[in-house]
Amino acid sequence: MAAAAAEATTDGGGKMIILISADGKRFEVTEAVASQSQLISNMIEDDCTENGVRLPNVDGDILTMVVDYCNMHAGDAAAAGDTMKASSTEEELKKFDAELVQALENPVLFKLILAANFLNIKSLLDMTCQRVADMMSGKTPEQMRETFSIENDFTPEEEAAIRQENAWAFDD
Amino acid sequence: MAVLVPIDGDGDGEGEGGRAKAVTDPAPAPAPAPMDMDGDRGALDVLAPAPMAMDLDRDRGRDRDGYGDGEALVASTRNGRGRGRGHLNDLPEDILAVILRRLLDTRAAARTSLLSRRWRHVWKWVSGLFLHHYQPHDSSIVRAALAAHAVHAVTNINKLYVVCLRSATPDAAASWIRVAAPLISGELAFCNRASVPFHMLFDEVFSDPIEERGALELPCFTRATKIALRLGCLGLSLPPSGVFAALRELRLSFVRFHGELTLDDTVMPFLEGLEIYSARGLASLTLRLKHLNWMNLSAVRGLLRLNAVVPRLKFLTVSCCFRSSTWLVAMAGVCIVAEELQVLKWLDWYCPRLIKFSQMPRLYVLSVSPFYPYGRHRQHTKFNPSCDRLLKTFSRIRCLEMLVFIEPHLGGVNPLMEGITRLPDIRFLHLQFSAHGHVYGASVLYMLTMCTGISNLKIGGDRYKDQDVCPPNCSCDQPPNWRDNKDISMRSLREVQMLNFRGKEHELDLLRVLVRVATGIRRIRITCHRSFAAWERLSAVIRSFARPETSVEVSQAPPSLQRQ
Repeated sequence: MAAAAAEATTDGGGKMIILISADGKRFEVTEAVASQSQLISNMIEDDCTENGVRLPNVDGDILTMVVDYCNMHAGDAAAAGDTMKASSTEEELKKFDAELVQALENPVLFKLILAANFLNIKSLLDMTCQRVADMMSGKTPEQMRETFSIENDFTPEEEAAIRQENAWAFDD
Repeated sequence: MAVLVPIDGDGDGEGEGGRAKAVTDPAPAPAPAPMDMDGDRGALDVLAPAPMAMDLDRDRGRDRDGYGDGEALVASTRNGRGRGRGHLNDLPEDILAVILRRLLDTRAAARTSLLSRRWRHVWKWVSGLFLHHYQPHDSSIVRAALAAHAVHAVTNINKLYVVCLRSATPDAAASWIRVAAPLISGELAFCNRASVPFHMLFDEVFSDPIEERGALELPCFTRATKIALRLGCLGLSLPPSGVFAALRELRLSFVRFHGELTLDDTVMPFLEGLEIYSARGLASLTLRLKHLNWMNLSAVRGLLRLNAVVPRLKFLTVSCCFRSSTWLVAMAGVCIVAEELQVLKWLDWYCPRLIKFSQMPRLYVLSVSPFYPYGRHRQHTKFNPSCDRLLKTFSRIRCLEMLVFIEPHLGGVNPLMEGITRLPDIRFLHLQFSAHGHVYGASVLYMLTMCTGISNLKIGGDRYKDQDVCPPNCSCDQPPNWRDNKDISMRSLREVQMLNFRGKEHELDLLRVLVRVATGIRRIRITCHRSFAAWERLSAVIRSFARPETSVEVSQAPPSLQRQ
């Protein structure tokens, strides 16, 4: 009974789910939006979302982005048979995605990757991983260390050994 | 309340039970789509590059489909580091591997081994390898990469994509392929002579004499599910023994054979898709494949004998294999037993004496080509009868697609439309024109006289950019009175669709005739070409002559669907 009361519904009649971030922020989203997360989709199937879904390893600011992304992309999922309002056009989505991913500072980008991985939202994970790949592309190891704040803990001898071991990758 | 346990990075496996739910099964490989069902791709595309596995963009798309890295996601439980501090190093190995795979360059991925101790072996988590070599004789980079990747054997190779920009020798290719054969559990793609443009390779296949480049002997891939070889006119021979036990899809292009090829269930017991595109030297092809679902044979030059027993085949495309009269003289015959066939695209020469089909009771799409409504060349007089013979072979088909060519410079040639004398009993007619700007109304109306019972008519206008403007009194407007046609009555016609509408007067004239002769049209759908700027006004124009009860929908094609 109580569970039924907690299940708010939208005007359109879709069931609502509450997502709760690590820092206690609450997000109310439709099932269709939330189902883009395979993790939550499975929970919906198992009927264990009545009192909200706590996501203790996703911060509120990151979850805001995830929810924005899922709202924007809900049309894709709806095409699979759900009844959603007309989805955004493909061009709008592309633009939204490009702007989202371009604007991210590195730390936020990596947190978003972790969140996408944890929530299992494949398209978001792919997009964000592609962004990192694009940032790596064409850089020397030294430049990569700088871009991504990676500390070189090799001795010069070890470095030389690795270069030799993977000579096929380093020779021009 | 559901609480999801944060995943800690210590790899103790605690989180795995809870996490496992989040893991999807890797999606099944996308269904092969060697030909489109509704004909939008049209017969015109036969000579365009077939959808190859070699396309990198597609590979990215594939990853998105969950084909590639599904298993990597599973592994992340061990290394997930929760909320993280916002460094690349916070990401677990499996996600780093997803990132490195997206470089689509295994050498670049392997260079990250130098970043720090943590990174030393991360690249070996990548399950897709993308390698290039430049020297025709030296493919040692590929061998070295495969050997290095295998050292810790963190993951299987589910995709190996090798490109040689120049012409690899058979030995250079064979040397890495032998190493790769036991390692690959997914997809192998090899593109030889990648720097040579597609059309030049295509011309080379048809040129005489062709340069002898030697032959690559393919070893047996017992675990590979898909093999795509674009060989740049290198020869190919299959292993004398061994079973490709997991192979579902085989694509061979720009390849030379030496005489005969037999593919049967003892060699490839689960093959579902076969494409041979632009090949020569294959005089005789024998297929006994009980799981084969689709097959595409295009520009297999010099094919004299084709013998296929493919009981589950549903989609078959044969194009430009038998067109050359040089070869027809020696042709031994074609026999195709495919009783489940649903879609037949026979874009080639046809003669019932030499080309025999089994009964095909489930066939519902037939695509024939080409048909020349005007002309004087030998090929026109040869192909129209061939097209006519094929059309007569089938008495009843749901959907007929025809490619209609009107040559650029007609001059004063005569109409040849009457070369087609009968159409099967059909419901849908799709006429795809390559008309070079010519008027095609007369051709459409001629076809309609032979299928007055159809319910749907789809007309694809010229796809390509504005063509030669045809001169006044051009033959294409013959017979000149087509606009006044009062002879036919299309009582069953309910829906008319026109694609690549450019707003020309003759297109509107055709529509007017259709509205007049088909009193029951319920829906007119027009997709305008990008070049037609005033397309938004078209709807009002059509409504001015269409019946009030007819719905009129006008839209403009999105850019991605048109080349020009």
